[in-house]
Amino acid sequence: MLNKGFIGPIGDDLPSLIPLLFGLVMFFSTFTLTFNAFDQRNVEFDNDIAVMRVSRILQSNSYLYSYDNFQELCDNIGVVNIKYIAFLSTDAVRRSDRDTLFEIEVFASEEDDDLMFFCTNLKEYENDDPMTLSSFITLENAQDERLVSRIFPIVVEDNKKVKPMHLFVVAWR
Amino acid sequence: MNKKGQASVTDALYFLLIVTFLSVFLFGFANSYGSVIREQLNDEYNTTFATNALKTILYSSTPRNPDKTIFDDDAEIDYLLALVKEDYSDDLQVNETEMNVLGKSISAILAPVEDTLDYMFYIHIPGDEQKIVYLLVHVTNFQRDDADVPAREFYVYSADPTNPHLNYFCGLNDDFKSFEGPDYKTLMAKMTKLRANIGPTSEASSAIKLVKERNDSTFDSFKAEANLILWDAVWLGQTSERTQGLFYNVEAPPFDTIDIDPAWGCQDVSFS
Repeated sequence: MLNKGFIGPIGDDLPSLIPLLFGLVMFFSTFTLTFNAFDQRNVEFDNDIAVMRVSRILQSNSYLYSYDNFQELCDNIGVVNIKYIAFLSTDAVRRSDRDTLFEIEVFASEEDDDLMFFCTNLKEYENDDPMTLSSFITLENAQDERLVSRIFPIVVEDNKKVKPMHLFVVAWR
Repeated sequence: MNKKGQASVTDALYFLLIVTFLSVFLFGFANSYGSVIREQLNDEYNTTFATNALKTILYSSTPRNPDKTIFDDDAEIDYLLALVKEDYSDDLQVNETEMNVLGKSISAILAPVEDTLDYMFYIHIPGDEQKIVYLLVHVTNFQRDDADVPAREFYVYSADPTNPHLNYFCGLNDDFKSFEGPDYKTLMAKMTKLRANIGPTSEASSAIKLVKERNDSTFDSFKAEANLILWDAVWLGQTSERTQGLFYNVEAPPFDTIDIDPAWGCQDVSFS
């Protein structure tokens, strides 16, 4: 009589397995979600910090006295674990009408058009005329990446004028 | 022995309860992870931007004629600060032309952030003399729309698409002379109140030297201070919680005339 409904030592514990399994699934799902969130945010911070590092070196004291000075600072950047393009532009100061960041033109010296103020660790890019951000990364390619961009005001001595312009730093993995 | 099955279910429910607490804690932690670092990175960027912008304003060259740009070949170019110093030295006032030249340069340098941030740039003489030399205020031209939430007063403030920004030269009397003495003190108190109520600001400040011409054509130099303050664009008039406006004396747009607090001594200006 006492053994009525008894289906074995494991069988008796079967109902308790349901909350146990549910708990384990919930815990490991949350754990995976948390781990992915940590990982994603750490990547974002690494990108942000790398952009700040590149921009801090290129800004120097916010005064670039020549193209050679810009290139010298560019050489000081060294290795960073992201792809980046940093360039100067007068588009904002001139209030040029641009629809996207990718249409912003790279500044070329008034004294010599060949002296383009950009700095990158990309091995391949288009030598367009004029050069824009899309010469380095197109809008289509950028949609697959998580781009980080920063803008800083800066002055550049060119053709005996101290010109206000902006330093654009764009980076991605 | 008969209650063995019930005990294991109770144990499992306790286990589920503990796991639920742990999961909620982990989920909350994952959501808030990095928010402090993100805030610090943004603060660092905003501070660097403000400092760079101020340096750029102070170092830049500019055409002496406000109708020209620095990129025009026939423009007569001078250092921006030298132009202001030269103009200020003779009558201890910055004239309207030089105000426009300086304002246009500031507006161009801060153009990338003008849609999201409001700002003021000012040069003043602190200490005994207490005088405003130059004050430019750039604010977003807000319009107010009813959000149509039933039984609730809920409004949406957005920039007027036809004229999104407004610029003012402030700290000026009716005859375009700079504020000094009591007017200066009142204006500085208004600026302090504005800064305390607009949320986080990014500020940069730099000591500069101005000169004044003596009767014998020699020059006396004295210290002044250039400041740049940027903040997230917000409505600066009255609200239901704020009975006194920070800049405007009106409750909300639309209005026929923009009623700026007279203590600011503002005159509107356009750089386009």
